[in-house]
Amino acid sequence: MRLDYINTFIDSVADALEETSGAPVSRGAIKLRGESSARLDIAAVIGMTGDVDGRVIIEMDRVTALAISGNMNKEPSGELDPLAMDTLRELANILVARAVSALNDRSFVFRLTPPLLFTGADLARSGRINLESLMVPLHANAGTINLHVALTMNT
Amino acid sequence: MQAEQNRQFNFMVVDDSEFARKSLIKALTHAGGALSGEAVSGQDAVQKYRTLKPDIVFMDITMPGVEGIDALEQILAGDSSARVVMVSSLSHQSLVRDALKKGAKHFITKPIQNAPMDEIVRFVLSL
Repeated sequence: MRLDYINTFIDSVADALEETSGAPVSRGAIKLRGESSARLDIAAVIGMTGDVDGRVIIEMDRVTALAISGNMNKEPSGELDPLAMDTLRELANILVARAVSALNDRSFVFRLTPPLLFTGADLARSGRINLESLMVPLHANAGTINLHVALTMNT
Repeated sequence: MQAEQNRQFNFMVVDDSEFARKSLIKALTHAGGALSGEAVSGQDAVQKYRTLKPDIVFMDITMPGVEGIDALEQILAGDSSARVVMVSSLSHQSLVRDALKKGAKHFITKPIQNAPMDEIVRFVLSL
């Protein structure tokens, strides 16, 4: 992964989360992992193509997911019903699309696939890929969202 | 009676996301609009436009099947006076330029809660 796009990517996602949540977002320490996999209760997986190959995972625990869904819908989400799941899928799309647009404006060509959402027992189906992955925790009012970026540049 | 007097335009929202459609409907109703229909895909939008003929269509770009830009072109092919506003999470310059060149009247970036909907509606209705 290259610093020139990874910093823009993370900054754009954090800015979009701040705008969507309406409250400041702080970033935790970046960690490097040898593989990309989801570990919390809910994960949105977005494939990336174009100048890069790989994927982005946006994951959170159930409490955070319900709080975020409630905030976005302006009414409490008591369970992860279809509307809550759709809301979280849309959130993931907004966050990653912001980063993709910022990079495309810098002459990179990044494309994203529609997010796939995995929860609970389905989480294992999100798979694991042996690709170096950066993990950044983003701390919002509703809770912490982990952003995993596992991308390689196409030469 | 007050609600009727406040309604200034009919609109259709097009998005495969239920959350996105609900958000748009809420914002546009607040701006004085009346919902004339919802569509969940580009193809659905083109078919519904023919019968509903809303004053403004608010349409997502990335949808399964017929995408928003293609649906925009098809709607305009059938009605060159159609007013279509694109709504998308993606906002890079080439995409926005492409949408406007193909006939979209405006482009809104998601999340929509900070979009000046009243101004956008007034502007688009004036075209």
